[in-house]
Amino acid sequence: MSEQRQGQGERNNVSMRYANIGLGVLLWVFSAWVIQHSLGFSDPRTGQLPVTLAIFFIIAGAILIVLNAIPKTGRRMENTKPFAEIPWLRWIAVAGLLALFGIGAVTIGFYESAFVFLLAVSLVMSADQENRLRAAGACLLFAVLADVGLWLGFSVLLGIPIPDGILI
Amino acid sequence: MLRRHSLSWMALLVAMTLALAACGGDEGAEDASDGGDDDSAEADEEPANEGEDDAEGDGGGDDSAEGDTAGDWEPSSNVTVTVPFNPGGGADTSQRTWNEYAEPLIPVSLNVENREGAGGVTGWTQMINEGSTDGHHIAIATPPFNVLPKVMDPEAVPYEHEDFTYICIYGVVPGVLYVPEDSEYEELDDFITAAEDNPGGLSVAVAGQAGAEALLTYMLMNETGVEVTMVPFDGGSESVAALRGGTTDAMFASTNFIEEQEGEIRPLAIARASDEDPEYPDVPSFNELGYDIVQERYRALAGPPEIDEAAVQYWADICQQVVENEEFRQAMRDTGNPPPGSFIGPDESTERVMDMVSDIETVVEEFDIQGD
Amino acid sequence: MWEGMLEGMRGVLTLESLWVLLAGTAAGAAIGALPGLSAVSAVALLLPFTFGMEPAHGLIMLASVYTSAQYGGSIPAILINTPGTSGAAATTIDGYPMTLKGEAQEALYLQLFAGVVGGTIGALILIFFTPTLAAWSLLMGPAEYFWLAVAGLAMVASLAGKDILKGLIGAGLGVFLTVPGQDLITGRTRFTFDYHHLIGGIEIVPALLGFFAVASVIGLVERGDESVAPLTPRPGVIRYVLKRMGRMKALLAYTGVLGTLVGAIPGAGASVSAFVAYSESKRVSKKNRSQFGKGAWEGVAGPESANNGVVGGSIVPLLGLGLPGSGSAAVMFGALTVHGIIPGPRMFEDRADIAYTFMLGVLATIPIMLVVGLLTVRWSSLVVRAPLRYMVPVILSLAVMGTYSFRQNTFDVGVLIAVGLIGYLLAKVGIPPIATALGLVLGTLIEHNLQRSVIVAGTRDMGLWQFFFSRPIAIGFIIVAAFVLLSGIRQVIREHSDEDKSDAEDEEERGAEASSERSQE
Repeated sequence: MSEQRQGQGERNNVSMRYANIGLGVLLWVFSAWVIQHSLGFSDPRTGQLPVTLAIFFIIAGAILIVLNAIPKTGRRMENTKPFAEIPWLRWIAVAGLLALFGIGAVTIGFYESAFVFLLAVSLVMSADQENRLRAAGACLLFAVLADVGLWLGFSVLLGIPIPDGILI
Repeated sequence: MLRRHSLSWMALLVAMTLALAACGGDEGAEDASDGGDDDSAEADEEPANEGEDDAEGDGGGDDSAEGDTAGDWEPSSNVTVTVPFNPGGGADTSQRTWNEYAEPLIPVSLNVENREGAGGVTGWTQMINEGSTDGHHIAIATPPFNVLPKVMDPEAVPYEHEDFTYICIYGVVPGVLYVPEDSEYEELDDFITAAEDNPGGLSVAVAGQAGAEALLTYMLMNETGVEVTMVPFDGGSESVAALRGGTTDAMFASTNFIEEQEGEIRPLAIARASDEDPEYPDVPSFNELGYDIVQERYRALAGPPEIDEAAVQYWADICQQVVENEEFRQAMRDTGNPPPGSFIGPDESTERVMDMVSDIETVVEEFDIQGD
Repeated sequence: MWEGMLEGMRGVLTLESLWVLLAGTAAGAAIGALPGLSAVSAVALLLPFTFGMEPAHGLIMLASVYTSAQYGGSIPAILINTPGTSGAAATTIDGYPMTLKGEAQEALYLQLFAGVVGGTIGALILIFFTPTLAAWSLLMGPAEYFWLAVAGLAMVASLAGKDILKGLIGAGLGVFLTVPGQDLITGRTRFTFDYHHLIGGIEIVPALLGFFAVASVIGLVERGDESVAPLTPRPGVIRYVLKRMGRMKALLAYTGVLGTLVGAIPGAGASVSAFVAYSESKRVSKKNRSQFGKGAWEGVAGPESANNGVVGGSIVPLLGLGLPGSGSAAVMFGALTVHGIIPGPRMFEDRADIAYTFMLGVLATIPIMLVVGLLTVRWSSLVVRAPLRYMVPVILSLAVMGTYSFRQNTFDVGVLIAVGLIGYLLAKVGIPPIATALGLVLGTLIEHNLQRSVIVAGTRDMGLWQFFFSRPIAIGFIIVAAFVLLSGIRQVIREHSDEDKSDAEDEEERGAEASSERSQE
């Protein structure tokens, strides 16, 4: 599977070696922040766990950075491209829609935003379909059915008090 | 004594008049016949109500005696009751029991909504900020648990103590000091003497370092001058397991374990307020043993801050009928959450909670345990 | 005892009870299978229905719901890498790879039968050994819990796969998720940023679901518009599964007992026992250890036998001590008290009929679960064939709705989404979600019990280590922890040396792997 797709993601080819170094740096930044935050606690026991974890992350980050920065040990990681397979555009669309779903659920209503989400994601994911119009129609039908299904399942069968939205 | 007596008589007279009047209306039509007996206990400030045992047929009399606001308001659609804890938990069980006895008295049904999170703060915040103020949204409040987070971490909790409009207190659960059944401490004084001889060497299981039991431990240390070591556990059951397993020497927990764990652990003292006819009469109270330690947690009803005054009256009225129903009282005892000796209405509820707030603030300041 | 048992049987073996069992089992399996709604939610959701029933029927209902929710939770774990309950997290490690290989039906039958074995073991232990086990569970003090949890965390070495450092980082991040909120030991809040939702901390269920459901489903976006996996069941699949399971008898029995025992420890729960069982399955199956993580049958059978055994185990403290040892047991505790029955050993004297009805209800659910499973596997496995353009939005919206329904909390939904997106990127750089899940599940146990040990040691004028070594069971767990860690490291070293050999012939190896994958299909 990986061989098939190696060609198309050429520009995202951050190798695992640099990803590891990046992860190490991130861990350092995170740990520095955790320690700085924990120093203010009046009872030192409150900060014991976060500080211990931060120290561990600093050590782990150091190992990651060192191992991958040294050419001899780092080269092993050159061949793996962790982000190569991600179709970023589509991924960001779905992730963004999911975040919007979360926000919409509390503002305009669960079933309303579920409908939008179901429709939009299925549309994004059927971008490759040949007959676009037919695919769009199918997605609309799907979104309606799935939304009704959600409502039947959660509100009717399980009787969970889903808060009222603007429509339902 | 004399004053109380005459007051009761006055209340009785007023009540009878009003009861007669109310008989014409639909409100009190059911059975006002028995009203007089209970009405003597009516006035909140005078809890002289031994005649309560026979509380079944009190519907009509009470309503009318509450004053003329009672009839003004009635829920017109189903009522949301927020329970900010998980279904099946202690607070949930209490509230569902209350609902069971309240529903026959009201024209609509009560829908429990369990909104867990942040030790109850999530559910209370939602009720306070978003609950409708027309009386169709109430919640169970469980002081000190709605009060504690605000004291411990005032910045994080988005409500004020005053945002709860208390309607009534229908359960009063004092803290209890327990030891294992085979413990060498036969009485409270044995325990305190042992703690004096060995400062910090006796361990007491509590549910959380910022919970009702921890406060009680601080109160004990404050009052007796001894030093004991608190071992915080995740909840009452975990504390019991630790006590029975020998991890700790004693435990503070609520009253429900007196029956549930009978034969395994033994109550030494109960932190109830003085009462002529207390629940768990076999267990001596700290007061009776000469220590001024009272720490009770409540099962209370509360509404949002701006809730309609007439609605508060209405719910207080329903609550009174429920609390005075002997079957309800027994049901609450069965789950280990005894009802109050006498009905506690809106004003007294608020007063009691505010007293609790200042008690807690004193202890928190004394032992410097506020959050960062 | 036998008298009470007869009474109980009379309660369970009626036509009415059968209907209750059937309804409870179906509902439990369905709710368990919904991501976000765990076994606790299943029991809690059906609780109100039982209030109107007579106590025996209500209890049978709850027993069947709880038992089957555990079974149902593993179905999506296998089919779409999304554990429906937290106890099913370990099942994803090998269950999902089986699905990817086209073996979804095999995996589901394996899961069903392993669950039946584990569930039966758990129920029998519950019926016959409750008093003994309950007495044992009281021996678990802070020192014992701490070292049990450390032993659990040491399993990261064998769970995480090749890169042990990233496994540890993942576990550390999981533990860090337990940091925000009010610290139980000091009562102070930390990392809450004055945000009230964080006072109670991050709930395990939405975080776990984020790491699995959201992260893995968003990963499916990469694949364009295919289906999750092919579905190519072998002919006579049921018989084939049973035949292969015949060779795992010892493993199934072992993990079933293990799951029950861990389940009987208050506070440990289904997820921990499933992880323990997974790591043990891997250790015990020497021959095809290299297949673990790539769809090893033992990797599904072990955890499934264990997390169904947990059901019986977790009821032990409830009936034996009168203490609920898990969230679900707490709900059942409430249900019993509502009916005026106080759970605990005295039930066996006062209300033996109810006690035995309850326990036999757990046992009686298992054949019903088997029937329900046999009838539905064929249909539920079709899920993997559905086009991804529909599957992805459906699973994600189920996860969002399920998470909200878990406790009607919108903050949980935020946790789900945020953790999911971060978890996806972490998985990309090689941090195994399973390690994070382990840290998340064990973090609180480790911190609280270490702090408690310090406090208790202080009251006894002991040093911490002196305290640990004064507790024989704790010493036992220390040895187990060391053993788990060492054997995990040995496994990793062996895998590494295998790889080093192949590194020289890198290209060749890759070709061979692909062909072996093909031949397996």
